[in-house]
Amino acid sequence: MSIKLSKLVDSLIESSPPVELKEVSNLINKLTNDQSIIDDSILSFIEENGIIYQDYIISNLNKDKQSSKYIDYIRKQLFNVDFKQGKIIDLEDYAPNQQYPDYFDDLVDKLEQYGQDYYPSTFASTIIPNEDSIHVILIGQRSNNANFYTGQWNSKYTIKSNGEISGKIKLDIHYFEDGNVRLKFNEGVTGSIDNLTSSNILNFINNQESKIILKLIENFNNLNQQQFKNLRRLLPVTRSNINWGNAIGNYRLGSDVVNKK
Amino acid sequence: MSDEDKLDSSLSLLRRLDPRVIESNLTNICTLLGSDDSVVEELLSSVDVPLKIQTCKQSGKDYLCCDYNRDADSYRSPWSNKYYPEIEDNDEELPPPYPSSILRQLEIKANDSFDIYRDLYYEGSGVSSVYLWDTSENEDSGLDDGFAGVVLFKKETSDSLGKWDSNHVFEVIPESEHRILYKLTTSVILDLNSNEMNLSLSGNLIRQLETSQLVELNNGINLETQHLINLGQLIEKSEYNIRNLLQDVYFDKLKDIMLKDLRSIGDIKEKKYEDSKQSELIKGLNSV
Repeated sequence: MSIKLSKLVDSLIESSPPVELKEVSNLINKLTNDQSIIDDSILSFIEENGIIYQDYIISNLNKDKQSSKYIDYIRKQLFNVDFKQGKIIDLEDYAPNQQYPDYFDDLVDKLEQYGQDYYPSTFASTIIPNEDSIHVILIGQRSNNANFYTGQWNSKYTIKSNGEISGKIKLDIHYFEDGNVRLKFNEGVTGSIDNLTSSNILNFINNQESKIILKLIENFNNLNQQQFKNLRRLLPVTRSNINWGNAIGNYRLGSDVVNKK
Repeated sequence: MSDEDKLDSSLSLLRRLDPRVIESNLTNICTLLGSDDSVVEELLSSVDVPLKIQTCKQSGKDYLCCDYNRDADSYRSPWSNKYYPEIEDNDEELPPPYPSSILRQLEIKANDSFDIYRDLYYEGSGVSSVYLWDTSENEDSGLDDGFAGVVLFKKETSDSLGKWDSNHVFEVIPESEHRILYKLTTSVILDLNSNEMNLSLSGNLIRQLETSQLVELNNGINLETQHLINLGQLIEKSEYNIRNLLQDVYFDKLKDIMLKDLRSIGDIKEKKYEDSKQSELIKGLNSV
């Protein structure tokens, strides 16, 4: 039962909004009291997706292989997370073995500035140095329960030492006033830069994200103008409300009115 | 934990989780609830999932399936009043439910009317179905003691990327000899998917509306027709409202959250500057 149960809980939690894990965990706990299965499942969701707690990012990319903790390569710290309290715990100093690229510190500053300029809510960024590449994670998230919504913008890039860049951008918004509406978006980006400098890296990221935002707006408009309008008209072709009652059959007689698009 | 708590938690959970996979989430939650048959049953009847289409063998027309026209695994067609798959006559089990004959007459007319409504608003495509059921213990009361029903519409765009399911459940309650209360709950499931990028907007909104109407039978309109007019107008108004609301939430609210809360389109500093300039401009205009 427990393997089956953990699969089932995984599948529920996979469809949770990234910023509502605490609430989802509490609700599932009321249906099954196996809290350890829920905790495991929530943690793997957090690692897979990447989420900000306080101003630390948790993801499988900065997971320490030796301990069960996570590494902040910028602040040179190890830490853990208590997602129920929404808190970072067990902070300790850490001396990374990885070689940092020479643009590292400058990129840290530029990402911080970029976050301030383009991410209006909670923002965090982190860089994970590897042997011949770095990972950059940028997350902007918002929880606005008073106005019934939460959302997260989440982008991850891998920048190789030869200048090749690949990335994945995800957007997930949940609106829940008298209903349950969800926006989900994800798209991969690839490209390359000539010189590995912090400016070139930041410009690449900024250009890609700005392009995607513009494309998203265009797609919003297309979905509105085409799909939504084609599903149900605001008013009939006659531009007036239906004349209900015995006369309604007249619409059938004038079937050209009914079938004209 | 009480049954009520379990039901509330299940419903709250479904309001949080991705509405696009509501069917599999619902199945999983029912498995978690396990032996709590009554909670499972209550949950299944209070959650809207995309409607299934079935074909009526007698009329050849499509109709929609929901909890209100279901008996075991069979669904009653509004066109022929027959259940499909057909239910064998069996002395040991109760016969499947049918509306009383007076209510069935109204149901036939309501299906005709809302089929015309579907033609007009859904541009000749989609499927509609209306099901009515008696709410009075007294079988001979006709329409006088009130009744209840559901009006359903389902439509997909030709490329199947857009889907609309609307579900109007109503109750007709006589308040006095000349006054009738119509209580309506409308929910629409709307699923939209871009053909250019991996973008989906999906979910459901629910709203309630009611109206109390005077019954005037002296100008040649009988009670049956009066119900058709009142229900038609109420549902037309409610669907108009919820369509506007969907437009507002899907295309304005979500876009606003994206741009104002998560990733702005331009530099926020410039935006703040322009916002303050614009509010000054508006102040200026107002004082003109």
